[in-house]
Amino acid sequence: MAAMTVAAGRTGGARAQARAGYLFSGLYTVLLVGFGLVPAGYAVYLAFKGETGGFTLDHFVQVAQDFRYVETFQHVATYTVAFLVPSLVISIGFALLLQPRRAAVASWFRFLYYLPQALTGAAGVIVWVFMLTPAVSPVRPLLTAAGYDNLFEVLSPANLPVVLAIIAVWTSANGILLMYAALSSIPVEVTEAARLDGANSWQTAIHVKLPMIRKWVAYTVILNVAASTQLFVEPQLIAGATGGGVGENWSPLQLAYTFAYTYADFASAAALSLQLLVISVLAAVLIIKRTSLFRMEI
Amino acid sequence: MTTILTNVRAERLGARRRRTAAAAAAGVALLAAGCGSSGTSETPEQDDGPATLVVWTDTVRKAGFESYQEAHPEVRLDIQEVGNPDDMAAKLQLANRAGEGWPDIMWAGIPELAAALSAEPYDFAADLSDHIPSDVIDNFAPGSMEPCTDGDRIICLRNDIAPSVLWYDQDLMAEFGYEIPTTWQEFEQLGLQIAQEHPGYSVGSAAGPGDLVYFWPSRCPVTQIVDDHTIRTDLGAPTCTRVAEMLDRLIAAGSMSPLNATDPEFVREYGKPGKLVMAYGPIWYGLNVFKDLYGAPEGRFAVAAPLQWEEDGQVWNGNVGGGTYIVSRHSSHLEAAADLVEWMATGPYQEQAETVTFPAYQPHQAGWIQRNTRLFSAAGGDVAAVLDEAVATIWPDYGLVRIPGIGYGTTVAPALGTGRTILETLPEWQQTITQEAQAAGWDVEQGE
Repeated sequence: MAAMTVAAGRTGGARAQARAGYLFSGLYTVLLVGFGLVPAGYAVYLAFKGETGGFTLDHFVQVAQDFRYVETFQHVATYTVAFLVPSLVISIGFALLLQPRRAAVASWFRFLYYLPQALTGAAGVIVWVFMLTPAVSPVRPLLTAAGYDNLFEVLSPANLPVVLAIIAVWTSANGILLMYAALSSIPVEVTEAARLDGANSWQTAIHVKLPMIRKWVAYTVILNVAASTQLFVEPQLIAGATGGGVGENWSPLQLAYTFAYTYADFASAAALSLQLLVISVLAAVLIIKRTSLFRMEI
Repeated sequence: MTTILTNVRAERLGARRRRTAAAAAAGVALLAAGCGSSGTSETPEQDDGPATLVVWTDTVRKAGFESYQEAHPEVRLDIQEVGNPDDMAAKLQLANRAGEGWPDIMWAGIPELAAALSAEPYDFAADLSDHIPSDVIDNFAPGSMEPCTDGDRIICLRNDIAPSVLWYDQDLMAEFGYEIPTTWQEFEQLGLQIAQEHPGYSVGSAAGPGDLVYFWPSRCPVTQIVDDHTIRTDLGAPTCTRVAEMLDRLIAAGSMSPLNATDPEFVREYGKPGKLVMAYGPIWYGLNVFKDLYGAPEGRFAVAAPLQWEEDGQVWNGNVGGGTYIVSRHSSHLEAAADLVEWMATGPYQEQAETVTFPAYQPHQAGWIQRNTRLFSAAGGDVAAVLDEAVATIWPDYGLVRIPGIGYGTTVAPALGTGRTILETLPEWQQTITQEAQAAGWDVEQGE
């Protein structure tokens, strides 16, 4: 009797679990369809629909002819490199340093790294604009020593991608947490074996740990490339802070916003957004192929 | 910061389409795609019941709408604070696509916005000419209703005007023993003299709205409107280069700041310590900048008549801002909405102490001057005379047209920040104006 009750309880538990699973994924699916797939589908429809109906590529021609089109992509390309490389190096590096520490120490540092992340991108920009404005910055002597007397000098066209990348790196501490989790999933036996074979910690990190978290790195790169192509809030806020002097229509998404809300040309905005989608998807496919991200390990 | 597409009289989208492969169906274009109610002037069915009016406003004007609500309980106001003009315009685009969600009344913080919102692609403003008596319209300051007039249509009511004047610190001028300049040449001379005799003191700032403050009074063709879809820009004209050269010389001498008057650095260097000897700028400097930002004691600054370029033989002046009230053509309570904007622009709101701006509606100007004399006085003692001249001399052909990104702020101000001269930036500024205007659908005539 007792055994039967346990069995029944177990099935009941499994059923409840399954229900919860359906509930969560159901909600997710509803949101995905409503706020992801349907708008994306509508964007495709808008981008290829002619003014009088029928298929057209005019909207793509229209955006490509815009005088800002090429440079917005150049900006984002520079930004992506300036953001991606340091953010990977920093997140993997910090995670490697942190992982062998005692749990209590590690969790304190994880909390510290996470703090900047707690600021949303927008608040992060405000903090950085404040930091980089020589007149009010607490690090004014540093800025003036570097030859920067005002915000326009700090945010010169050459500096802007780097400044935006610094802000992004600063708020991308989730990378550290992710890498830390990945490193923690490496079985102790493996690192132990490496140690017994005479590998020092540097060699263990490079030759043992890194290859084992390759897929996590790939996953992070895919997410970060997608985030970079969608750069919007940060330059938009900087444009606000400089009276439009710096950062106006700086990224493709800002240009798309201008097409939609300034020119009321939603079709061209959709055409430009689709190009960003294609770039993100291509980058993802390339990374997945190169790292065999989805291949099951045996 | 995205800005608002404008054109005084419509069709720039049409112009833009003509230049692209999509030519054929111009004009009708985009709005029709999402908005069932395109077409320009049909009036929606009017609702006889008690009116509920949706108001989009900024924080300052909100108090006015609230006091209207108190005085008129029969109308229900749904007052919504909508950030800056760009946010309002973006929200209008969404409403246009959705075919609903427009406010009945909208505050537009810059004078050129009403024309933009009246034209495609916004097509928002109602014609108020049947609702506002013409004798009321006639009482607005000369030229102040120009941005609200589109042919026979009245597309908004002007709240305030902001003519420039010569501001000066009475104490410093007396202490240094200087005469108040009356021409730009004297202004420059005095600026150079101050740089020599009193280094560390300032005669103003060159960034900020430098186009409106300095280039407008010189009659520089920055964005003159030629016709419905053409603007003319010629920054190589002598009326532009003389301004650039004067400012460059003053900046080089050190008495003119390359920043703008509200920049934290400028405030710290000159504003707060009381080292601003004089500054050319709009009438709202007195409260918003000198008192509120610099903490200048009331009565320290005074206004003098606008400056004249000696070779012009007469005074021309410029204007820096001034808001308007726009009624939606989608409103089903046009009469009630018109009544409310009339109350705000010409009625009791303009007599309230919290109405900080200089009224465009003339019958209320004397009261405003009365309320502000503790704040500033005038050379010769007659503030009204100075303001009358400042308004009457505004050059009417400047061509206030709001095209995204063409501002002085987006090209000249950053260049100034990196140590370049205004003169060498003029060609760049002209190129920016041309490119941005063309992207927004305008034809652009450059040069002569």
